[in-house]
Formats: sequence, structure tokens, C-alpha cells
Amino acid sequence: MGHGDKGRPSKKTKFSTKDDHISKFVEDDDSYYNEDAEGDFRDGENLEKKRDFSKLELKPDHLNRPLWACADGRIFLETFSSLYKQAYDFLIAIAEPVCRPESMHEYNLTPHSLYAAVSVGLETETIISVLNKLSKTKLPKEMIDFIHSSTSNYGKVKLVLKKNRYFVESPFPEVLKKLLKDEVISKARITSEAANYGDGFTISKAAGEIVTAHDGLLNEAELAAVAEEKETHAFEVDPAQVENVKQRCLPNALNYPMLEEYDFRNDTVNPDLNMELKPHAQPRPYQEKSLSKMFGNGRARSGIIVLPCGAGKSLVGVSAASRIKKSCLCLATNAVSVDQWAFQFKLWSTIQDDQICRFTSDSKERFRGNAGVVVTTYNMVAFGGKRSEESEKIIEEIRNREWGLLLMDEVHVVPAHMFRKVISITKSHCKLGLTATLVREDERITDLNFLIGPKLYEANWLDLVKGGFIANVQCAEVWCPMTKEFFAEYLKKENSKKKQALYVMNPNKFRACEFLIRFHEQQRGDKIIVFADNLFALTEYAMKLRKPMIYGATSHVERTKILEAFKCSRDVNTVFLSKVGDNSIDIPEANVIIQISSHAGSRRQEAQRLGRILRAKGKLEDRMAGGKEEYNAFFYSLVSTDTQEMFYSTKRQQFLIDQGYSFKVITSLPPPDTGADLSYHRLDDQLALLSKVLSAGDDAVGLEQLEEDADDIALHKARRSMGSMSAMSGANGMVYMEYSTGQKRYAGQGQLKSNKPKDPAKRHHLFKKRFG
Amino acid sequence: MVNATKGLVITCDIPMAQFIINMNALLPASQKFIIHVLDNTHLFVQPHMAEMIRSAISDFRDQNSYEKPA
Repeated sequence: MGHGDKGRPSKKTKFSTKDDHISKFVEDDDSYYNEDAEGDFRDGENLEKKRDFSKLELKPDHLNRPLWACADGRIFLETFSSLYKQAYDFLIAIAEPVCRPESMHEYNLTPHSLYAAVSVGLETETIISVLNKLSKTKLPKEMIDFIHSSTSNYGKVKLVLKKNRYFVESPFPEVLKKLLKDEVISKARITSEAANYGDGFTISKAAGEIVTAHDGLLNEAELAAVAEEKETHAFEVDPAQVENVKQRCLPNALNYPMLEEYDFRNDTVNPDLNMELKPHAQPRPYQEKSLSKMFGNGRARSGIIVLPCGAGKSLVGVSAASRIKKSCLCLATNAVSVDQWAFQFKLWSTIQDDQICRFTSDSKERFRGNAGVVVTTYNMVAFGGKRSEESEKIIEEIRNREWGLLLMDEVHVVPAHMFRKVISITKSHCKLGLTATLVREDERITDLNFLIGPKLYEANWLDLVKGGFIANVQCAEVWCPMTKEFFAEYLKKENSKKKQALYVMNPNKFRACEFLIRFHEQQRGDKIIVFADNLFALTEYAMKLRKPMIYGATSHVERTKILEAFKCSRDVNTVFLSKVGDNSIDIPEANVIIQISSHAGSRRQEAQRLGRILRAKGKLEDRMAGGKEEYNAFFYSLVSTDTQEMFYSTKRQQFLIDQGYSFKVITSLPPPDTGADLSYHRLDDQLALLSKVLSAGDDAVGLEQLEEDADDIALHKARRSMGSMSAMSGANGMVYMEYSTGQKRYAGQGQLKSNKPKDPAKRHHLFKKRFG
Repeated sequence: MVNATKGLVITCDIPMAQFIINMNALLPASQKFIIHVLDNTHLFVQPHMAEMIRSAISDFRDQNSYEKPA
């Protein structure tokens, strides 16, 4: 043991001989840090303290225990442990997964994750004792304190929706008083009737009304709470302010996280909806588990369920709706997915056709009867402008109704402003958010904690792959070197705006793309999606390779036609998509993705795109490890080396890497012997392409802007570009430019930011006459 | 009459050669360091420039590589 001996002799005696290698490792580390800390760099010391785990005490039977718990709240789980499954279920409930590669998972305990834990019914003492049981080391005192302080206030305050009014309830008047001292909350309060109650405070009494029929499912703590609830104190809050009130109550502010539960079985006010799951709808184990988190004690909790794309989120949504059996408002991102949701509802449940209706700009249906399911888009509900009379009526109906369940698809888009409006407009007892990727580049993801609720369940991607529930994807990053001419232009300062176009149109990349398409079409008979964010590139590639493409401006009819052909026809095996295809376009047939350009460093986009091919295909036994095809889906990301794209590409992959995926780097594509088979073999062709890129207008080579594009902050944050003064002032060798002011649009430009037709109201009055 | 010039031969891949050429082009005439561009992947430069080229290239590469924030 050498120099480590000076450490803690008492501790060493605890180790049995076979643990010596571990203790040695620990001690060695210790002494190393000690020496270092004596040096004069003080900021480094802090960091090392955090990483110094030598104080943790190993339990004698640590080999049988699956996890390491560290004082800073991080927990490491060994996936090869025999207790992995149980430990995983527990950890996912109490901690936030940070990174989950194959054999070691990292989790982080945060106040939010603990809030989620207690809200699914775990008690403080249970958390600590189970954690202690699973941990290889004695739980650090800091961690125990942390758990205590984060969970002590939980469950004291409730947010209740009664007859379309929101109340904050608590059995403890002093807690309410404390809350009311907060400026935000007292402002949000509505004090119309409260003054009538004359008990000195403006706290109204609502005598025990909740305590009627509770089944034996309740645990002790809740029984205790119930007993006290006979005297429930409550005050009403402004529906528009609910979000702010909830935010103030979160752990990082007042630390009285609100409990939002819906006792739907005892809700006699709202009419029941007669729908059941059809017998053929068999939820998979992880779907079952996520639902059990939601309906833990016979009531419905608000929260978010995170499942990878293609893992059957819609079945979870439909199951939840058919358990609550009240009116349900289902929100999706676009008209296509509205259709898909309506279809899913009919597929999985016994709901009658006249009880479900779609509300989009194209179809405005209304359900008969007093309960039903409405499927609509976020845009339709949040729309602020003038509506048609018909939709005004429907929206009024949505606004006035008390919804049993608000089901939100692709919830990661919700934090954008207009989507938050949706939540304040619609009144629901319970909210369920569904998503695959709980990451945003603008870090507004934590907003979801008060907008919707805590994360109830998050599936492990690799476990689902192993179980054969989602496709086993081989991810690859294809490195395409820039050609001499393109790179020379790329480096020139005056081309700073065209950098993206230059690295996307890199002829080597084009050839790699063409090679991959050919290989998968001809050798394997696969269905391929090619993604390009850059419209200029999208059109160039699609035209040159003679493949159909879909982008923002493609009409709904044409989209459906192309997708139909892609699904059914043997001749259409490749389709080019701009970023309209990122979310929700359901193309179960596709199993290969080639990404030629992307939205800067957006991790979410990468994961969503991967999700397009995650739906499991083929027979289960073929897909299992060692089966006929271990990999049956392929995700290629083409990257031009030595350019900014390398930076973005690595950043984009982080989310998937955290989920345990690994990217294989391919450097020799296309193989050198392909030669003239592929396009742009000859230098002349390459030069022609180059001049085409250079002569295209700056706006034409830019990114496509979609209306629902809410995450574009990613671009501003991550972009690093160099520009010259002359380019900025517009004196870039350009004498004059032509602007088209009319409605005429260049074909294939979609909705470019700089190409909006001029607002006639802003025209000079002299010209108004002429155009008016 | 043969003129001998002492210099440095740089061997690199095509894009990096372009990078160095571009770097050279941006400098004022008095500081130009490329003596001769031999071919796509070989350059003949002034001997004292090695460090500067190396650091410029490593800066450029740093810009294009992403490191996960801790």
C-alpha cells in the first residue's frame, strides 16, 4: 500500500483482502490530490475536492450492491449488477439521468427530481433507506440532509380546479399565509368573496370536502394528511397567473411545491366519457410502468413521460385518457399529427366516432354529447388574431370547458411563448406531457416543472433496444474532406455568409450521399430519408439525384402524395426532407437516414431525426443480439471536415451519446474506386457547382424558417462566424442589388425570413394608390 | 546560375494546404512566407514560420471542435 498508509488506518481494517485493489486505488488517489492541493492553484482545489471520493466508506458486501452515491448528489449505477433492474426503476424515480452508456449510468439528485419522487408517492424515509440499501458506500451525510431539506415541504400545498376556478389549498393556514407574503402570489390572488369570511385573515375556510371515499391504496402519510384536511384552507388565484404562482412555489423559490392531483373517480361534476382500451391494445412493460407512475394512488398526477420516438407514446396517451374517462383535450404540433392522434384514439380505444373531433384550420368538427375528445394543434388554441366565426365558437367551448385530461404531444416545444398561452387558456384537472427529447438549447426545459409537472418516467433507450421494442440503430458520422476549391472559398472572408452553403455543397459530401443512397437502395432495398436544413442544398441534391422532396412550402396534398408513394411504391425509395420532417411526420417504412445539413448544434433535432427510424421493424428474433440483422436501421450524418460543421456535429450528438449511443466514424466514403459512377467526378462539374453556390443570393443559401420554429435560439448561441467589415456594410464588391417587392416568389425558396412580401400598410402614401 | 534558398517543406492534406495559402494571402506583401507551392499537398515556406503556422492551425481546429462543458 506504500505511501497511502498515512491515510485512515481505521478504515483499512474494514476491507477484506480481496478489496485491496479498490482501497489502494482510493488511497492512491487521495495522496495524489493531497500533494496537488498543497500547490498554489486554489480554484483547482475545489474541483478536486468534489472528485475526491476517498471519504466514502465502502460496505463490506459492496460487491452485491449496484450503485455509488457521492456527496455532491451524483449517483453511479452499474448496469451489469444483478440488481440493475430494481435499482434503475428506483433511481429513475428519484434522480435525473445524466448519461447512460452501456455499463455505467450517471444520475444526479436535484430538488426537482426529488420533488418528482415524492409526487409519485415515495416518502423521504423510503428514499433514504432504499438508497442506502443499494449503495456500495455509506450514504454521505450531505446527501441525506439534501434529501431531507428538498422533500420536507412537499405535499403541504395543493392546487385544485373547482368549477372552472383555481384554488390553492392547504390544511395549514400558516403555510398559506407564508405563501401570500410573496408578492407574485398575493397579486395573483382573487379576493372577491374571501372578505366575507371573518376569521381575521383573508383566508377562506373550505371544510373537508375531499375526505369521502378513499381506498386502502393510500399510504400513511396521506392518511394523516387526509385526517387534517377536514379543515382545508384555500384561496382563489387568477387563472392567468397560475403558472407564476406555481413557479414561485417551486424548490428554488419558496419551496412549497404544489401537488396537482385529480381524483377523477370521485369527480361527479364532470360527465363521464364512455371509452375503454380495446382488448388488443396491450401496453408494453415500460408503458405499463409509466402509467402506474401517473396513476399511483388511484388519482391522476400531472407530469411528463419521456419515451423515445417510436416506442409507443400514443398508446400511453390513449390509455391515460381511457383511464380517466373524462373529456380530453389532445394537443399536437401540426395538422398531420392531429390526424394521426385521432386515428390512434380510434385504433386503441372503443371511443365512438362522434365523440372524437379534430379542430384544425382544415377540419372544424364538434362533438355531440357532453363529453368527448378534441384533437387540435398548439397553434390553433394559442392563436391570437381574429378567427373565423366557426372556430371562434369552438375555441370558446374549449375555453369554458373543464377538461379531465390535457394531453400534450411533443411537449418539448411547449416552453415557447405561444405554447405557454395554451396552458393558461385551457383549464384542465390533469396534464400529461409526452416527449422523446427533454432537451432544449435555451435551457427553458425547467419551465416544464411548473407548466406541466415533474417528470414521471423516463425510459432507457438502450434497454428498449435490447428488449426489441425500438430499432437497433447504427449511428455513423461520415467525414467528407473538403475539395481544394471549395475549401479555398470557404476560407475567404467575403464568403462568411456562404460558409454553410459551401460545406453542405462540398462535392465529396454529395458523392458520399449518392453512394449511400445507391448502396442502400440497390443492395439492401431500404427506404431512405435524406435531411437537409439548407433549402438551397435540398433542391440541388434532390434535382441532381432526381428524388422527390418535401419542404415548408410543399402543399399538404403534395406532401401526402409523396409520402404515399414513398410508403407503397417500389420505385420511390428515397425522399428528401427539410426540417418540416423532423417532428411527427410518421414514416414507419424508413430505416435509413442520411443527414446532409442540420440546424447548427441542436441536440433535440438530432434525436428527433433519429426517432424517425426508431420504430421497430421486422421480426423480433432477427433483431435481438446475435440475430440475423443486429442492426436494421442506419443513421448517417455527413460532415465536411475542417469546417464549423465538425463543431456542430459533435455538439448535436451529445444527447444521443448520453442515451448510450455511439457514433462510428467513417472516413473513406465513397470508396476511391467508384470514380465516374457518381456525380461531380470531373473538376469542371465541381467548379460549375461552386460558381452556382457563390452566385446564389445570401438569402437563398440561408436556413429555412418555419413558423413553428421555436428553438432557433440554438443557432444564435452556438454560431461562431467571422465577418468582414465590408461584408457587413454591404460594400462587398456589390454595386447594386435587385429587390423584388411584389408577391412573386422564387420557386423553391419556401418561407425565407428576408423574403416576406411588404406589408401594404407600411408603403409610402404615394405608392399606396398605385398598388392599392 | 542556381539560386539556393533555405526553407521548410510542409506536407499536409489538401484543405490544410489551402488554409496555409489563405493565411499567406492575407498577410501584407512584405510578410508573405510561402516561397513556392509545390503541389496540392506540399508547400515550401520560410523556415522561421513553422511555429506560427502550427499555432494558427491549432487555433483553427479548436474553433471547429466541440468540447462538452463539464
